[in-house]
Amino acid sequence: MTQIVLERIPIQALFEIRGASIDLDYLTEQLEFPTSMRFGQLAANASMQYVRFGPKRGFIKSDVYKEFLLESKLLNHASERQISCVNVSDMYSGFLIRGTNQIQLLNQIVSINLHRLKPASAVATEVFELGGILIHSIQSEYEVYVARSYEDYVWNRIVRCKESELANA
Amino acid sequence: MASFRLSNGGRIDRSQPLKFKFNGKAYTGFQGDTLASALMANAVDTLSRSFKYHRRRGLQNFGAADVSSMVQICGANESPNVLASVQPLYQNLEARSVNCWPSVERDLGSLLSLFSSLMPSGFYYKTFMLPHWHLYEPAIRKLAGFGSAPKRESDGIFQSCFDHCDVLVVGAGPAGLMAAKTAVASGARVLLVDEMSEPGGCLSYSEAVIDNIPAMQWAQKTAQELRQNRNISMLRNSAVWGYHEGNMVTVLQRKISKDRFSVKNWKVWAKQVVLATGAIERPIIFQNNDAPGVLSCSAVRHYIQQFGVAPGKKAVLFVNNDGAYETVSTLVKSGINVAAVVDIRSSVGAESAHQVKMAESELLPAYQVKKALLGRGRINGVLLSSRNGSSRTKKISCDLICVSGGWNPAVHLFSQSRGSLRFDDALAAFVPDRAVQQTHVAGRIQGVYSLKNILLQGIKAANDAVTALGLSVRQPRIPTIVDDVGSDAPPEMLWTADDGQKQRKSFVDLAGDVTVFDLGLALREGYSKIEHLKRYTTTGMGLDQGKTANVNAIGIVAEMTGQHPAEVGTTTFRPPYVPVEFGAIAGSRCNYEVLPYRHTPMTQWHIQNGAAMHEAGARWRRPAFYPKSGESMQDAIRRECKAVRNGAGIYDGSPLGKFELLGNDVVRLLNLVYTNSFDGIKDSRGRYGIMMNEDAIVFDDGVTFRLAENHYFMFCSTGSAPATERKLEKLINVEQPDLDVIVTPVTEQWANATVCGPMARKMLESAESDIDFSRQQFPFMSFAEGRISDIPVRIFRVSFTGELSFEINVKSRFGLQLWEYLIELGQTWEICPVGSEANHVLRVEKGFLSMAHEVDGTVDPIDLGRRNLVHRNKPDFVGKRTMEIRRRNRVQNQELIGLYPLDCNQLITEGAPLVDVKNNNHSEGFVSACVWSDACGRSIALGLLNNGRARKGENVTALVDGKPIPAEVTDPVFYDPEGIKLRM
Repeated sequence: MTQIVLERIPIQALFEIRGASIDLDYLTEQLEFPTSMRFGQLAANASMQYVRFGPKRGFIKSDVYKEFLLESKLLNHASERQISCVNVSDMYSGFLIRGTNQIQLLNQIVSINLHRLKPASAVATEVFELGGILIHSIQSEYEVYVARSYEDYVWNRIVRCKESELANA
Repeated sequence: MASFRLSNGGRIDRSQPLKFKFNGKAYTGFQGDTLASALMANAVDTLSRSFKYHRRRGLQNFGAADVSSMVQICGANESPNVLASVQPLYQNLEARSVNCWPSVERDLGSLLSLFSSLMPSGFYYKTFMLPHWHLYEPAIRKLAGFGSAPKRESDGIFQSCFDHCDVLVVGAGPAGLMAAKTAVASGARVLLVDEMSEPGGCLSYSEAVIDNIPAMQWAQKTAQELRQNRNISMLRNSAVWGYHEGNMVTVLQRKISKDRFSVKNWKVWAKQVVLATGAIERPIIFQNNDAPGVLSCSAVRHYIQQFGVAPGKKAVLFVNNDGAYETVSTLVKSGINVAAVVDIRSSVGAESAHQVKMAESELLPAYQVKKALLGRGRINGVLLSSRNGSSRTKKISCDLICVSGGWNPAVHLFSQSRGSLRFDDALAAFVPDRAVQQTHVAGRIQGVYSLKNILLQGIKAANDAVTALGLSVRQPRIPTIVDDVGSDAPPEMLWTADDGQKQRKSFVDLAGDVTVFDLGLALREGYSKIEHLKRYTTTGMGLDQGKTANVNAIGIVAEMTGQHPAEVGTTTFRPPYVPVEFGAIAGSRCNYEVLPYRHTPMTQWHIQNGAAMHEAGARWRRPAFYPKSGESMQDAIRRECKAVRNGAGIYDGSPLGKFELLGNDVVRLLNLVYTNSFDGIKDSRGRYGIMMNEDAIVFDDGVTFRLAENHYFMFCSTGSAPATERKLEKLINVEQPDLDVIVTPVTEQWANATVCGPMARKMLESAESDIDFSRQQFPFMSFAEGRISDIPVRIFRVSFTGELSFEINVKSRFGLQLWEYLIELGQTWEICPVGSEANHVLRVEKGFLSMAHEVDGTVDPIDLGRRNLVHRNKPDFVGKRTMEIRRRNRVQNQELIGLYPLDCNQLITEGAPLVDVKNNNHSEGFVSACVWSDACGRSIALGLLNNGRARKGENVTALVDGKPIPAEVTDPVFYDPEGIKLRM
């Protein structure tokens, strides 16, 4: 049976990490994640989820109540090297997509090859022609993050795509 | 009414009758019919009127190749330009003919046919020129064309979708099915796309037996088996309409049924593409070859075998190849009388001759159809002429002419992929030559017509694709074919039986009403290159897109010019292969969403409080002004300005571009991007700067604050934020890669409420806050961090209004909370929300720059009177060298000036030119902004004027709608020129 669940994700603690590759490797170690993790792989521990989009860019996600603790921890590590760690929790709005037809819906939202985005991975990509982040969680659900200023626009379009998908299924 | 439905046969469900209407008249068809087959069964011969001459047009072919079957679907799912031959029938479908008035049967436009000699190809380049073309154009456009755009918004579902696959197989005929089977068995992820509602392709009109079952049954069984595999997706009713760079194809999937009209436009990226697009039966051109009752042989077989409907009662075949003789047995089995088989060849294959004999029909070798004879609504006979030199003619009565001039491989997509084509003499057709992308071809597109060879080609193409993917091939079993009906024997070339080649009724391109005569005319007029001839005559353009017209046109041109078709060459095939709705391209975007607006956390508050909203750069939707009940726009703006000048105002500055800069070289970067120096900036202090492009043209301005050592916060204009980000990234990553700076854009992270006006400090001092707002502790161009009403804030003392001003930044989640708190707090000071229109007035009074007004892409900072911001002693900054050259060469520049209209109540339209009335109104600048200023008690303006600063006190003239408006040149700062108020 066709089913798509669509929810707005409450605010999350999000951090944009930028710096030289070697410095981000250092930070990865400090956060106790393996430096061997491939780009796009989403690693998780009790306090955060961490992804390296590329050699010079990382992204951290956590519960909002851990925001200040995490920020201070990250800034501590960042200060040891030339790493920019910026709290972007308010930059993004997130949407959760799950259900049997989640791929069909996502195929209308992002143009990337979803077959290659395995569970526990993330990618910085275009969402409806806007910059955004797509996370395929370990539970095989998808989280879409876009700039907060476009929240209503993206939400309305996803809702319409969902309705179309259900009507067409 | 006569029924052409056969008593049995066809793959329709006769237990499910469907009612439908065509041109307002009720008919019945069956589940499984297309609109075309149902109309044929109901003896509806004329479906539409032709593009130019309004001639009757009926079914000629099937699938996307039937360019004559265009109709308009009516009702809630109104859709123009739908091919009846691909439109599945559904209950209560309503459709109508196109390009006719008042009806398709009695079309007044058909009178144009009488004047066809006045309207050859390109007539509109030569006639209707006096007094001018536009006088006639509306009427001509109305008479030409096809369907009409729906007048109401569609209820349909329009979607844009993306997909990726290892192997894309285009066409679910025998080659495509075998290719898909092979690829999927080898572990590739496969997408199989077909334009018809069921798989089979050419098997739909074949009597072949594969694996001991009828061919179409085999196709359905194979497709069913494929569907069980999770590695394959299949799209039915889906036409690939474009093959683009990067092995990306666009697919149009249409579903029009009783309660659903849905169109999906897919963009599919495939690692490998197998084109099994088949071939389209080529017509032979003769007089009246466009009339209802003239069909291709394959179409005749398709309608009989797929839908159990007879295209006529008495048929004549006009052929040039043995493959077409299969039609004879199909017709006979269906009870249709075959009056004669006219073959242009003098010698016919023994098997073919035997089939004619068995049908008790007459075989006429070395004959050709000279003309179709027209009856009421469709043909009623043929006039034959001998091809062996004698002048003998022969007349045969019939209501159906089945034509086969060989096959045109459907090379359109291959050509779109930039693959080259070659003319194959044996096949008398263009076939794929060299692929440029990861493209493989299989089946009839290669000019292979034997069923066994088609199946083998499908396997081979998939093998090549799978090998290229690095997978190991798993060969499927090759199906057994008892009696291979297809024939690879070549046809004898004949493009047109119109021997005089002057006939105006021998149609090469049915979609555009292009005749053999038109081709000759174009050649006589010098359009000797096929690409020019195509454009002049429109052959192969429009709906046809070279499906049926191109090869015949090339062949005819070759004959007329004495060249070989290979020398004539082929034209470029371009998307779209089938008509594509605009809705399919727009997808789920509608209304303003094509360019979506951006909102701040306070946008809803502005709307709820009556703000007039407008777009204010980079798609941000901002309040323009907040009118009170009964208040005009001008009154609202004046009230808001007064509040800022005399009390307190508050505006939403969230859209301002913001960046965090971190690194050892931030100051070096700032010194590069700004024209002034950023050396020596202290913690918590900021500096204003102007950025230029390499061409020394002002690009943006803004302030940058030092938050801590090596940590800065940069503001830029709202509209320039994306470009500023690109500029910074380019400097860091490309031009100065040794710079140790990391830039993070944070515009949306921070909401901004700016409190401004002489009462601003007092108001904020009354807030629950740990920040000292005193002038000594918090001076102009400084920064403070703390809390207001327990909300963590970053406050910057910057002013865009010329008044005491505090830009309060909070994390976006607190934006609305802070805004509402400040509004409530400000009640004591009668705080007034201020829109961008009032902000505009306030900044003009101060002579502050607006990137959208004064910065017009021609000026440098010195032109704008900001010489103090150009620190030429700096080693370098972007645009420095160009500016120095420009200055050295004393190029006369337009400079920023202020203007007082001599009539102090006069407003000058922004953009109005400043002209030299003594020199024939020669332009010497323009008015960049003009506002009514209560602070000045008059209208004031800013502008750019040649050598403007030296002309203070001079009177100049602005021209508005041809009317001169005199104004005095003055200083561009009208209010508080010393800047005392903003430093309070």
